[in-house]
Amino acid sequence: MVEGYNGLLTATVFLPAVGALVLLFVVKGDRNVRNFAVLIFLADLVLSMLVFGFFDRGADADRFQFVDRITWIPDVGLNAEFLLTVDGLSAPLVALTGLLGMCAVLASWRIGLRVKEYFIWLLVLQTAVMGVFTSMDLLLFFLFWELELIPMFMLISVWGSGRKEYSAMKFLIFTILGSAFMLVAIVAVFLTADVGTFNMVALLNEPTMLTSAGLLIPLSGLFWLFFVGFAIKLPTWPVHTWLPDAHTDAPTAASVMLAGVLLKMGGYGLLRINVGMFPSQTDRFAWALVTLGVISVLYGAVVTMRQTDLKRLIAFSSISHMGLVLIGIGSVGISQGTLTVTGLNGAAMQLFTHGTVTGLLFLAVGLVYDKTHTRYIPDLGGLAGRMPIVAVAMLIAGFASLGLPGLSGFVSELLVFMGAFQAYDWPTVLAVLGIVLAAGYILWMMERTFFGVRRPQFDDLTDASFVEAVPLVLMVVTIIGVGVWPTLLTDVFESGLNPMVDVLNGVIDP
Amino acid sequence: MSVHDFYVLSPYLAMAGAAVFVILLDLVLPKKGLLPYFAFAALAGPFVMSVIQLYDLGGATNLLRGAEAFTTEDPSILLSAISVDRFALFFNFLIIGCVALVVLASTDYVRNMERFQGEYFALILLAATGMMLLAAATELITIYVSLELTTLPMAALTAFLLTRNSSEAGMKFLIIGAISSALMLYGMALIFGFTGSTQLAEISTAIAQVSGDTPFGNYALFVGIVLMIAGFGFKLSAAPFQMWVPDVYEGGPTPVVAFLSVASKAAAFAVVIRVLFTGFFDVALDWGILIAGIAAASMVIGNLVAISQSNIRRLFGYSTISHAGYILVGVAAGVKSGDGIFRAPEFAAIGPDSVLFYLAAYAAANLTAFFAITIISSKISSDKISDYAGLSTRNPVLAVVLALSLLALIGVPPTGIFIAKLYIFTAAVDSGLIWLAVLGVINSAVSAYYYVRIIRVMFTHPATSDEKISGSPAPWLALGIAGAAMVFMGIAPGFVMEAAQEAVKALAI
Amino acid sequence: MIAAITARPFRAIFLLALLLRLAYGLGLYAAAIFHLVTHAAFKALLFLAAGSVNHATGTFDMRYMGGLRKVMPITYILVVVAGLSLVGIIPLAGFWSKDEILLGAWNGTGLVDTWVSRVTFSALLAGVIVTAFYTIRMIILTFHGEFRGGIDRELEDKAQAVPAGASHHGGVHLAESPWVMVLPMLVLGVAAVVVGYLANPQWTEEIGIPRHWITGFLGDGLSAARGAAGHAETLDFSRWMAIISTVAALSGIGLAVLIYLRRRDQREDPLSKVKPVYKLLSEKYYMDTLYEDVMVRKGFYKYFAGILDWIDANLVDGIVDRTGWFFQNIGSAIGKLQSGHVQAYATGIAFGVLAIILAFLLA
Repeated sequence: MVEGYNGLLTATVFLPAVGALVLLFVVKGDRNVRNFAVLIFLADLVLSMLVFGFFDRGADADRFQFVDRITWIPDVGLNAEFLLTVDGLSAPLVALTGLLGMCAVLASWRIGLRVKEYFIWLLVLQTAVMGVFTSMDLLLFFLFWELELIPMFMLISVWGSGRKEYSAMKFLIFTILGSAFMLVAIVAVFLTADVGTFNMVALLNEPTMLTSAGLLIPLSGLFWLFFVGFAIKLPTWPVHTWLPDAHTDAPTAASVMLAGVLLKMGGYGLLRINVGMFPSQTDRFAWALVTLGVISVLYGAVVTMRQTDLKRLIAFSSISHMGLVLIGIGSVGISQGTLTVTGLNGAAMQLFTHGTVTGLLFLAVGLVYDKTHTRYIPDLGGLAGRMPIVAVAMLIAGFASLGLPGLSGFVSELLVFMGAFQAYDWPTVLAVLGIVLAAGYILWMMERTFFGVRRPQFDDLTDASFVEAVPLVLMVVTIIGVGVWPTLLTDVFESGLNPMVDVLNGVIDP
Repeated sequence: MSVHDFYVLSPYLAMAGAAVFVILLDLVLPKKGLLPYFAFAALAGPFVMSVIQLYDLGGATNLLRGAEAFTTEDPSILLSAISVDRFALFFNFLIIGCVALVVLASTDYVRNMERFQGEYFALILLAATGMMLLAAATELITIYVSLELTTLPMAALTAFLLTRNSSEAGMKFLIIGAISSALMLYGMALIFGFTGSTQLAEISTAIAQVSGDTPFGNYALFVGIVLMIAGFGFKLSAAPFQMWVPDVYEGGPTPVVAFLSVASKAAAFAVVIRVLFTGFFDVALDWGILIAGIAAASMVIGNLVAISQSNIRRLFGYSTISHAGYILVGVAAGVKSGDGIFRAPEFAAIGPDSVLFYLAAYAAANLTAFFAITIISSKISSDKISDYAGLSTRNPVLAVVLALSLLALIGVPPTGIFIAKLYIFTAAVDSGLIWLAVLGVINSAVSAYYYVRIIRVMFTHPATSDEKISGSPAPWLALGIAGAAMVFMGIAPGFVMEAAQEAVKALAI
Repeated sequence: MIAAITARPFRAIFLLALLLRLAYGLGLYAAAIFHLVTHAAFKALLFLAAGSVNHATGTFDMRYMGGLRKVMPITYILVVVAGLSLVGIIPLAGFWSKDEILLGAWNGTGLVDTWVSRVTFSALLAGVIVTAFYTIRMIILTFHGEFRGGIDRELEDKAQAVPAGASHHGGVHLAESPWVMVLPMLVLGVAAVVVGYLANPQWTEEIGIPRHWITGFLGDGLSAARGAAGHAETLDFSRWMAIISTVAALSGIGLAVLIYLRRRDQREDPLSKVKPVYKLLSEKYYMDTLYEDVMVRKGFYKYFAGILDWIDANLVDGIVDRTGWFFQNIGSAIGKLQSGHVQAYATGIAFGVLAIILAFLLA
């Protein structure tokens, strides 16, 4: 079933890397570099859309599609395969990566310093993230997970602003520490008596392979080790402090990729590994997940209200929104046999919608910063008059962020709350308060930045150019599209999550 | 000594012969610049002989077999001294590879030496002979002699630059080396006294009969083994025997330090594995904890002090200490406590397997880094990290290669050391040393800081001068080969892994 | 509603009155909904009229209006009609719906005790008086007397610079509003007059609309929705009630006329003489202050959010930074042991060996 070699995913994952090599050795001249990079990202976008579009959502379809499988490390002590495949959970995330990659590269149009290097790092980053979402071998998964560290580090520390070197290092060390714990867990899983493989498909289909007998680290230990790695990436309170610095000091495109895609790796990991492979432990610790999620939502929202730097504000709001993912996952804590896919669907949807919404927010803020050279909200105001396109984009993103019905953010939040409420009622209510707070800071931010009195120094601002507007439009269309027609995504996510729900409903305690 | 004995010894003889050849050549050759290439060519001798031996070995365990060796009237004297098996051959190839690359990388370097160029290469080749012998030695005296053969030329090489720093480094190396040898010899004496033999096989039999409540079963054995490990600890650059490392790494000539860090270490690990696993395995549960403790100490001390270093060579010194720690984890992981009331130690092959693989991967990565530093320091003539600023603009390829090797040393995929660390930590978890594995991964994460700091300085800080950095082709070739090996082992590790597995099997524990 | 008495901005009056109206829905669901229907008519008209007035004067502050009935007579007439309908003067729309409610409150609905209904009735009646008062006040201040300057004067008084994009469209131009604005007002004016009776004829069928059509319709629908079957009772017209409510309304009107119509200088509101009451009401019972200043700005923003922000920056992030600092410094601390002396190194080795031996012996 999970056999064979299709090629589409290999192309989607490695095309950017190949592009990077070509850029390194062949392409000369800043203009050519830019055009070439855009071409590669466009091709990758097309490929990712093909993966998403041709994903078979029918009831009889295979769970894992577009399989690319080659033996990699033979059975000599280790036993790993090169295995790329997508299921309902990862296909939309692949599409998301394609979309945001395109936006990121277009947002990088004005980069003037060390242009070639910049695009090479961006391309490598794209390969890494695509790889994370498509790998179904734990070792390969870990390899891609680590691969994204250095490009992001370089992007922030060279082309960033503010305390860029500090922020980049903080990001690096924090994330590497998380993945260190993940590695121990991966190794322990591999060494478990009946397992002897890194193959995630096998582990997902039969989580009972990881039974108590033959475990080197108890199941709960494995669960938390993985959790730490993913929680740092998501990020969850209290390991969230790397995010505001990294987001604020990164260049626009890097912020877009970081917020839009990299954070989703954490959520994806939680869904794929913690929920998929350790269902009994997720059930057991769901209360803890919900607690952390609620804290993230509220704490994040409250601290966001104190921010006066546009980017930092959005960064903290990301912490708040990612808390919802945890809450959605926490819906698993409901009593045995009654779990519906709603909460998990909401969590997965939140990954996609937040990616597009925050991506758009950062794109718009990046444009504001490019033109006004300040991100300090009290110094801004009345920009809508001069930059209507950016203003509208920001408005739509802002409304989606606070969950206005008709936009994509509403769908995911609704699903999360519906799912989680059945399991934990009053914590969910608390989390909903976070939406109220979101309205507070989003509306305040938009009003102060785009409306009101405009300072004379901003009277000559130009609006977004064509190249700058394309990613804005792309994101707006996606946000509205998903908001109006959410089945586009929920169907796909469900087909990937339903097997997990089935396992959870039938799961026997370890 | 029969012909067969000479055949068995041929790689070592060829290597020593190459050394002599180089010295003689030095007397007659007018153009000294050609010496490295001759030295490189002379390596063909040991290489070819090792290949022949590998094929000859076939499925057997030991080259010393059959009628030629075992005739009862005149058994080969080598039987009691060395064992040319897959394990030894693995290290043969590893060391020959390291020597070849170091020789190539030294071509520019030796141009600065007015005299003694021939001696330089000869000493390297002699040290290599000792290293190869170390990997094959199965008897305490042979081990000691091989160890000295390794250490003494290295000491001379360290002092080769005749500058104050270099002389100081060489002196320290010599003195500490001598002390360590003394300790080891004392330990060997105790063990000989206790067991009545210097051969590892016979020692093992004698120890098997020991029983008692004291650690290791007997005080003499206990102190003997501890002292031997202390002696080896010097060569392994393991804590608490590591204090010479930063000074020597700072003062010695760069290619020599590179050689020291990979080849000498590899040989030391070879002998440690052989001695501990074939000789002292019955008390493995005792020295297992000791090795684990030393491993932890090395990792932690190496990584922590490296954070504050501003001299790149000293940083690499501490880095090598930490890597020794990681590798020692693999050694400790070779022991599992077995079932049963007596909890006899069980051999977990995955431990030493991972050690061998790590040594190969580490050799590739560290050599790459050092060769890059060699090329750079010939132009900048400074070892301060801050002077590496803006290297990415002065020579992008060099900067990228150095960056890759630094990433490899952290253990970021897809490099060989990532697989190696994975392998080693897997072994550790498998043997129940989960705390050690966790300590190891945390240390790897911490080490990211100081390696990435160098990368950051190279790539993000503005260059202080626009002078381009380049070198002659030979060092670049060495750099390229080492770098390729580093990445290759990350992407397709199967070949080396299998070789390591076979090698350890040959130990027949 | 009480606060509406003193509210100066034109529109605020209407908004506050809205609150009043909703309070009427006390168990008298059908009547309340009927009232909302009629109320839509005259309230919408009043809002449009406010816009019309603003178009002419550039302000919403009644202190700067006055004498507009001469320049915008149509608006004036419509406002009077709407105002009287709001107050509930027979036979305008507002009367009929208000009447139903008053009747229902007096009779009681069985949902609450009779004394509660009676108290409510009294409150409602008081409401009628006050409503009449402020409505007429508004009309007088806006349309009678002398014009007091409009936006120009207001800005002068407040000594403000003109904010860009502010809502004034170019100053004062005293004239009737264009027909685009007047036409919808006319339509609503008609509705404000007739809708009340037509929707709910009290005695006989009118133009094909049956008696008590709307209250019957709503009542049946609502009880059907609540599961109760049968026909809900609709109340018959009571002459007494009509008289009482009209008297109440007229008294309110009279009071306002008395106070406001004959003053010369109408910028100083006579009610301001009753300082504390005036202050309380004009600050809207300080509710805004309570919400905005105390709760949001200080309580939440400064204290709660501020504390969390401090915790995040100094404690949670602080741990991260301290850990980094720790690692950086411990390294150099250990490094200091590296003295450079060979003797020290040798000693180190010796101590190392001793330590190992001791560890084994003691463990």
